[in-house]
Amino acid sequence: MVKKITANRIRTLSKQDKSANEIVRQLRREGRGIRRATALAIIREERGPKHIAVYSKHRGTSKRYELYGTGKQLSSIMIDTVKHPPRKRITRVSAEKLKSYSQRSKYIDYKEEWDRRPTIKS
Amino acid sequence: MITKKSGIEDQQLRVNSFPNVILGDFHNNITKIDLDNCFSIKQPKHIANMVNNRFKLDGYIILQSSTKTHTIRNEELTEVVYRYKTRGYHLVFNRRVSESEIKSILAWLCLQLKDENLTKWFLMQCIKQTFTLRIGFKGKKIRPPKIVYHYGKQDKMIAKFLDNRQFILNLNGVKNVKTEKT
Repeated sequence: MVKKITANRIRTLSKQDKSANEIVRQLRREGRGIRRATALAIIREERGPKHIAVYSKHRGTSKRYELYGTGKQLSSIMIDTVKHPPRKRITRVSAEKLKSYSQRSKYIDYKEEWDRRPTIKS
Repeated sequence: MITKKSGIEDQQLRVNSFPNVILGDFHNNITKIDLDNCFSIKQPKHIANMVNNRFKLDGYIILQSSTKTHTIRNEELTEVVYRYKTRGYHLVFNRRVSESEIKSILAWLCLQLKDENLTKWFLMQCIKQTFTLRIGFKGKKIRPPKIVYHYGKQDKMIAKFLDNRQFILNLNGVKNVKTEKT
């Protein structure tokens, strides 16, 4: 369990646009050393997830992914979503759900590909 | 990232690594406005000030998205008589708002401006139930929107929007985006 004072200190430091490493170093200097993983959990909670939409056309119809999660989770999914369209027209999923490959094939249509250079009106 | 040495320092040829898709931000607690066919930055500035003062949205940033060239031809459609350019702008506001509040803000603005493009965009967002603005490239040539003006605080939702923007630009391999602040 993290002390309330430490958690609040992490929140205030993350509001000042400091990175996780800088926050951990700062806490160590103040005599409140904490593991990076536990600090990261609080920072992510404070900052909230990233919301990213990937949209284009597949066989003439517009389709879109609406993904949310941490940067690390999102960047691991992006490789697939940028290549292949979703099964449904609008797919809103958390990046955490798409972590495993078995779950990914539920939402991503691996047999198909996005149209080449379509004209999209956003 | 490809760099080109042609006299100007740090000139970067930004190449879109995903030309078949568009990447955007769809956070539903950020007030976003998409303005098309503006002749100068004065128009989006005036609109942003109007919305910011009326709904007390703390501050805003203006992003310049894409330019469009219009041509006027003569009656026989053989010669180009006049050419002019218009620009698209995106407005992002700082205060956190609910989804219903965004809808009310945009509906009010549509009534005030009577802009066909804005109304169409607003209706499309209502159909999709998310408010999306483009952050990344569009096709191979059209570059990501760049910041041209900012006013007021930028610590809440603008910071979040810029965080998302940086993430998408990093995905494309663009790391240092020069922002022009006026």
